[in-house]
Amino acid sequence: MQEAVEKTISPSGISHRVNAWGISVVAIALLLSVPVLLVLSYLFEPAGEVWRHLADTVLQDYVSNSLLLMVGVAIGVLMLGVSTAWLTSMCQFPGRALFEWALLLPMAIPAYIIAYTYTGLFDFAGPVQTLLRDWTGWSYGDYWFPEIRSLEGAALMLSLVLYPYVYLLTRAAFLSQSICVLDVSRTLGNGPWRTFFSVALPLARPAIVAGLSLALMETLADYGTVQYFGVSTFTTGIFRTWFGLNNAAAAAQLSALLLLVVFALIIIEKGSRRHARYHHTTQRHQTLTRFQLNWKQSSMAFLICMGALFFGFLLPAGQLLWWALTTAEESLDGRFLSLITHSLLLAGGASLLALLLALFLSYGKRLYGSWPVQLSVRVAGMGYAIPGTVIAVGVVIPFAAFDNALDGWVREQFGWSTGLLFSGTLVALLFAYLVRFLAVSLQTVEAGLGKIRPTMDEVARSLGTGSGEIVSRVHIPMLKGSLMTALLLVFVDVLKELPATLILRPFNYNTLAVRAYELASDERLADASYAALTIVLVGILPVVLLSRSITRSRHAETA
Amino acid sequence: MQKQLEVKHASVSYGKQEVVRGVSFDLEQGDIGCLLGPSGCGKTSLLRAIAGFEPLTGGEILLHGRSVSHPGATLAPEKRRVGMVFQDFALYPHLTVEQNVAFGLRGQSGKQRHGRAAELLDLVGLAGLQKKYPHQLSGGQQQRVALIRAMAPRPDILLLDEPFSGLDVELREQLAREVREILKRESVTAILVTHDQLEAFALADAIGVLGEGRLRQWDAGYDLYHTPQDRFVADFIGQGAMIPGRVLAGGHVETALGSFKGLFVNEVSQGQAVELLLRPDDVIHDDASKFQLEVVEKVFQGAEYLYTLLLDDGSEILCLVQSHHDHAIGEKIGVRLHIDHPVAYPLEN
Repeated sequence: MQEAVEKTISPSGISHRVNAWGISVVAIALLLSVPVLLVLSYLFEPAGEVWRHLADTVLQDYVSNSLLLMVGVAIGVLMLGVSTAWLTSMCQFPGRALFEWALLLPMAIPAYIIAYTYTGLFDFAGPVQTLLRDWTGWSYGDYWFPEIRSLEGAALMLSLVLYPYVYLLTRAAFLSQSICVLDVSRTLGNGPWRTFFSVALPLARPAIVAGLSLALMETLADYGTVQYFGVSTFTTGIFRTWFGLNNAAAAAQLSALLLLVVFALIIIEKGSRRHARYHHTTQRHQTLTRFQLNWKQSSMAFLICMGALFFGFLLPAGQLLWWALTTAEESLDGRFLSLITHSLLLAGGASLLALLLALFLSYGKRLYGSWPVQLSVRVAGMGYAIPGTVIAVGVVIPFAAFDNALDGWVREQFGWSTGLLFSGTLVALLFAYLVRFLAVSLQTVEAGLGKIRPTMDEVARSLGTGSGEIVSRVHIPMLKGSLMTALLLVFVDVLKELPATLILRPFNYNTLAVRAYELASDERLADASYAALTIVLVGILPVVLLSRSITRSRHAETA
Repeated sequence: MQKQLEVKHASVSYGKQEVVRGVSFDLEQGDIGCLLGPSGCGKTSLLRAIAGFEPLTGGEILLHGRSVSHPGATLAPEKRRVGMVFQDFALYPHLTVEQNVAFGLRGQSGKQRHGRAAELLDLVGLAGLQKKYPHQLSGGQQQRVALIRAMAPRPDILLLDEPFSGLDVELREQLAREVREILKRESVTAILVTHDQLEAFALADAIGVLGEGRLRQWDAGYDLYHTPQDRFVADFIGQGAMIPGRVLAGGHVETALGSFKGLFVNEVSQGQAVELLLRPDDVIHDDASKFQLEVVEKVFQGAEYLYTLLLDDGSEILCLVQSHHDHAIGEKIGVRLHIDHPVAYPLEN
């Protein structure tokens, strides 16, 4: 009797914890949404003189170039992504199993790296045109060769590395379609082509649209490629307005416009994902019998998949490797080592911080899922779609304002200057990374936590296990994989990130991405290869993870 | 002798909504009880209150004579010595079968834990599967692992929350009988929560029917079927029909099919209109009977036909007849009533 009363949990004890944890979650979400809210607030700022000047001169270019680029990328990723997804999921041809995961490899290459690699390969002094001249005896001006550094070129580069988004989601949609709906179409007298266009494609449309929206978000976020190719888009415009015209307000207004387009894409993407449920045909899948292709069809299928893989990964990676091998002596020096250390520190620090925050937020949601907490967690995970340039603008403005205010106050009170405390330091940069990439670890941790069903906690408690022991004996072992994945994904994303790093890094603080980009901009393509190749190699890790989950789903399918 | 479980006027609320209202019952050591009811009747909330996952807003719960729940004080589940089996089994995917079973064994040597796990696996016929992982087992095997995991630390009471609903229909009844045998052999006190009366009949010694948060009747399955205490229980348990009747002197009820000495669950007065419960097995097919009724519907059930018969006053009754008596719809067949416990309810409204 006595024991029972002593060891009870008082309800008031619980409600105190709700408040502390819940309030922290809301506070974190608010803090992380400051950059986006700030940028959006500039929509309501009266247009300044610089803005009017922009509107009269270059704004039209930004808008039309960004739109054209999106159209080009959309065409490119749809053609590459949907065709390869159909071939690898529904058709049987030599090499299919290999292509199934290898087609993801282009994801490892950031767009700005493939852009400068292709420039090195295909511009006037590059090996392709040189070879052409040697063969034909033509010289400069005698022949026409497509200009890689153009809007079309940029669309092609982005398509080559972004099509895996469409491939991945479309493939999953094709696989989840019941083979029966396709068989029904065949028995109703439709040939394979008609079946594809009238049944399979419409059913997969929500997935295709979702993949396309993701690819277009990346396109809008791209800075390195368009800047390198001299195409004026929103992101380059933001840079130019800020650093060229030195006008932060106008840059923020451009950012806000860009954000609106991104939000539209997010809404489309979310909408199609919701819609995808209605296009789900059945839970019961028959074993997939793939269309057997004859040798002619097989070679076509092989060529299409090989083309995507070759131009999206093998060729640029091979070129980088070649450059790296030929410049090994000059490039591998102390400077390269400091690049690596900086990048590792930043990426490691950001991924660890993101993981801790993600754990804090998702446990908060699991334990005390009141609506403000739920909403806050969603808000905190919003940043992923937002271009790094925009986030950088949204981070610099408040940090600088805070620093200036603090400096002014300290000077007034104590007569000495604090200088710039946060802006231009790693704190600002890490904060920007968190805003952008917290979504990645949050999603992974939440998915992992979702697998630990509430009843698993309850079983443990009914078996006499206390909270601490539940965490150590159930949660940690079950979450381990997700935690590692979350770390890895953010690590790689930070390593590849260019525009935010470029704007926010402390003076002369170079990372692999920044250095690769700078060297390439100075036409020192070969010298940039070591940094670039390192990024690509590390970038392969998440691709391996993804492809492993694909192989696993294939096993489940045959089981 | 001390009761193993005593539930006294227990109430559970979520916010302002009271989902369990003043329920009382108790179980002796080794008894298997069942909380039966449609979804939303509060049976799972009551079970969770017994486990310690939900606080009581009224009443008290005692386990083995020790008060574990009353309003304002809830002993944590991990301190109660209850075992719980969930609908989704909640096996730990990262642990082997043996590790799952031994999860709740603490303060014992590795050898003892190993021995206890082996003994229980043997009991449920899963010996040799120690090193398998849950995903390598069939649904029925997973269910048995979940059961012995809960039994392993020898809890004071075992709580089973719809433990068979995740399984194929053919498996359910067989497993329910097996589980009963296992629990009886180990002399485990247990409570099952289910919405499936056949499961309840197969497993439990005593069954409590819950409706809208109230305990309607606590009885053996036979009594629930033949002498339901109210209309709710009569409708919920088994098949049947109600025919109108009138109370005569001496506690008899007169109906279109004759008069009977009735059992009344409520006060009735002479001349009052009542309804009499007729189970399909109360209605006997007899060609010689003076009551000839028209067949309006028939369902073939293998050994029997379930006929729906029309009375002159428009009410319908069900009649179970051996299936070689094959009558066409529209045909008239003779029936007489053979009721051991005629139960009558005052007419509502």
